[in-house]
Amino acid sequence: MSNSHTSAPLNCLHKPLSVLGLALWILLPTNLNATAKEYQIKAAFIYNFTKFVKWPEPDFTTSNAPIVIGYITNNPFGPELENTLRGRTLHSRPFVCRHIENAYEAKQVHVLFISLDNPHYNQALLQQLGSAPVLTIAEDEGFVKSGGMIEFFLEKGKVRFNLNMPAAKRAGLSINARLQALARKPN
Amino acid sequence: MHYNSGVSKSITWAIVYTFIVMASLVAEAPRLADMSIEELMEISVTSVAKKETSLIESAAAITVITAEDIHQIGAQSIPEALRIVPGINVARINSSNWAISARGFQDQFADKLLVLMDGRTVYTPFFAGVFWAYQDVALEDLDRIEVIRGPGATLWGANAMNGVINIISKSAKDTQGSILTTSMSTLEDYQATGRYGGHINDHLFYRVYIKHRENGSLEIAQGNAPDDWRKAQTGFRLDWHPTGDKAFTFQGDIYIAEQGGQLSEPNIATPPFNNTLTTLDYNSYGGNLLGRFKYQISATDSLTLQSYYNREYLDLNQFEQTIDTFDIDTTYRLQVSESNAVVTGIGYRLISDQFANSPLLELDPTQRTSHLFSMFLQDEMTFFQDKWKLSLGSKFEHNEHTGFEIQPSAQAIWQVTAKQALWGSISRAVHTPARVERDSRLNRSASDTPLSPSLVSIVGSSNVDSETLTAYQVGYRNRFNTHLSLELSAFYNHYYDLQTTRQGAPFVENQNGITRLLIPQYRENTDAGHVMGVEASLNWSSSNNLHWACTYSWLEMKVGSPGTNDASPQHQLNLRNHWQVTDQFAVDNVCYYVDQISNAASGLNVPAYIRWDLGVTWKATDSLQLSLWAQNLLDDQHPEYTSTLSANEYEIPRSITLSTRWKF
Repeated sequence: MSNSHTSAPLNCLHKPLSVLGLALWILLPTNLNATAKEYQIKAAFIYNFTKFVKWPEPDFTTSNAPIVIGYITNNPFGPELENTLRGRTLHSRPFVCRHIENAYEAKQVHVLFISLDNPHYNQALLQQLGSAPVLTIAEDEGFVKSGGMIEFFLEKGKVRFNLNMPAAKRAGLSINARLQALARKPN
Repeated sequence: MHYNSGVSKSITWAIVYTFIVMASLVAEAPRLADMSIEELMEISVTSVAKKETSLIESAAAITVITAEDIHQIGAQSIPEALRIVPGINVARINSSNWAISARGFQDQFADKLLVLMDGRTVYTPFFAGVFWAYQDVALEDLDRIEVIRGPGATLWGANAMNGVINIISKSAKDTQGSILTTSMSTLEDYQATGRYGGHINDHLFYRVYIKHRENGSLEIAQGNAPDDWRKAQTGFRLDWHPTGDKAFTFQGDIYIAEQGGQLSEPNIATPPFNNTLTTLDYNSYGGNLLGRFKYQISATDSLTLQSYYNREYLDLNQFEQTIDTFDIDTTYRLQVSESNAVVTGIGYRLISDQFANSPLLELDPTQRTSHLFSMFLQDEMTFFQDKWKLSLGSKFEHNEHTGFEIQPSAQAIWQVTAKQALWGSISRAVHTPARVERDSRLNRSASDTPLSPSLVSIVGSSNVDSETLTAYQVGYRNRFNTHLSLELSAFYNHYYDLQTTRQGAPFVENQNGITRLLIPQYRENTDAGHVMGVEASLNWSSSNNLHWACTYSWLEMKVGSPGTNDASPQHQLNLRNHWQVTDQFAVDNVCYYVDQISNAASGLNVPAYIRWDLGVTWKATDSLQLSLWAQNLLDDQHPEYTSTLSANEYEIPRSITLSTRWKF
């Protein structure tokens, strides 16, 4: 009978709690479908790209200096990228992800992913980057045309990319021919 | 017992299920990374992620001022940076005060605008306006200022009536290293800021800064009224990202300021009973401490919990105010299904104030504690392959004075093509009475009439109710190509229950042994009317290093209270050009046209003015940058506003400013 005390408040809690439980049952499965796989896929692409790129030697101070991946975006790309790269290495170099704010910081990274939906910004940034050995990646139409190196786009719901070899060459990056073969030629 | 087990069963299942789902979400990303590019190219994108900063998707008139913009217009303070935003009225009153409003109602005590700094509300609960001089940051640490014209009440609540200004500073992670900036100008304005940003480990970043500014007096047409001011401010920010999806922020600032100014105060104690213009120094200090936790549950779902404490103290001659605010709120965003997201939040705010009365301003009671409870719910739905988006929501707020306030809105956007969008919205917003409107008596003017001294006072009352707005907006955006973009918005705002004053029957009152005739002007909600306007902005890059921006705003106010209609400029134009001559040199031109205004209180007209600013920036080395700005080149000086409290108008002269930035 000691329970009679507690069962009364629990009694009134029962309804809202089972509704909550039900709500979670209903909401979560649909939620699973809705995860933004786009950025998970793109993060995986970026990880893969690094396997095909050779940066100029002086860019790494030691043999296990990290590969720094910068991103300029306010969307949830950052967590996706960090999840994807956590614990991974490339030729014993670990990965470091960094949120980048300006051109000065952008020059200090190896890979730069820009997702801002602001072509003016992209252009200004590319110009300020000059020939710094940074692999620039964005998803805005015209990025490759205006001097960027890799441009993601969607085709029938699948991720594709354009590659601008001359821009990479100018920055002193050498890109494996296999990646060139997979890329759509810039038109 | 039976219920008990039923309850725990459903809870247990819900928790277990949540963990399973979360685990599968987390596991997905690494698995993808093990695939080759060829394999990745075969994976279909199930849900296209939303770019948060993508303006094309928001059904509101938004302008974002970036740190770069602030540099390119030579602004040395936040109010000066707001001049480039269409639909925002900025007028400098004197050296330390600005009259800033959105979509009309320009006034030193403009009260229909919500200003936030890193999520902290900074308008004073005293009169629901902003002391702009105290709202300062180390400009190098400023990330952006988001300006939303039109109501934001569904998300932010009361006072987000005509607009919301969101001042956002950078994460400590993005302000690593040391910076020293200085600026000095021919107006005898001096500023120095030092900031140091460091990290304890890869997840814990911090910065500290200290800033001092000293601003010289502006001139007035007659007499001498020193309005110079100085302010010292220091603060910190700590950002901790223990994992990629969790972020903690702690930040705080304190400032102390001293300002010179003029005040027209009534003599009510001893004859002669008249108003005298007092030149005075006033002191203020303030501080805040804020903590925020953001949990990015998945790419689309997030939870934010934020709390802050804020204190502001002001000593204006004999009048003193101390206001403490404590606020806690939480926001949860849940992607319910591919086409449906829910954003919801609850909040509580405690405001405790204490005043010392002066002959000019009396409050009764002098001390008050108020509680504000709020809750909002918004549903965002997308249709037809995300081409249509509809948001429906409302804020529900409770304050002790006007009770429940409901502020709903409906917004729709149609993404016509990848490059252009059309949007429209209908919203309701309220301005709840501020402390001064309820409990104050403002003794405007005293005079010696033949029979007895008399005093005209504006008297607040507990009957003062909320002002209400129904706003209709439409907008159009087009990003023609990578070089050209256009943004248009138009609005029709219908106001009900606007506050005005009504002269009551004079009566004789006896206070401290003095008998006088009081001519009361009671505050009441009997005004109504409409305001409409159009705002346009155009951005054009004529080449890779030549950028143009043009904004225009047109405004028409038709509210009943005399004087209000002409106090805001009808036309405003801003034209700017940024030319990156070489990697080291840049030239900026900024032109402003602001239409004439007239001030009902002083009866003075402020003529239209054109202001032209020219700046040159030289990046001497990677770490040192110098800028030289010549401002207001076209005339010797011009006024922008006449204050309601002092009879004289200050003028803004031509000036030259040299600033340096040294990063090391």
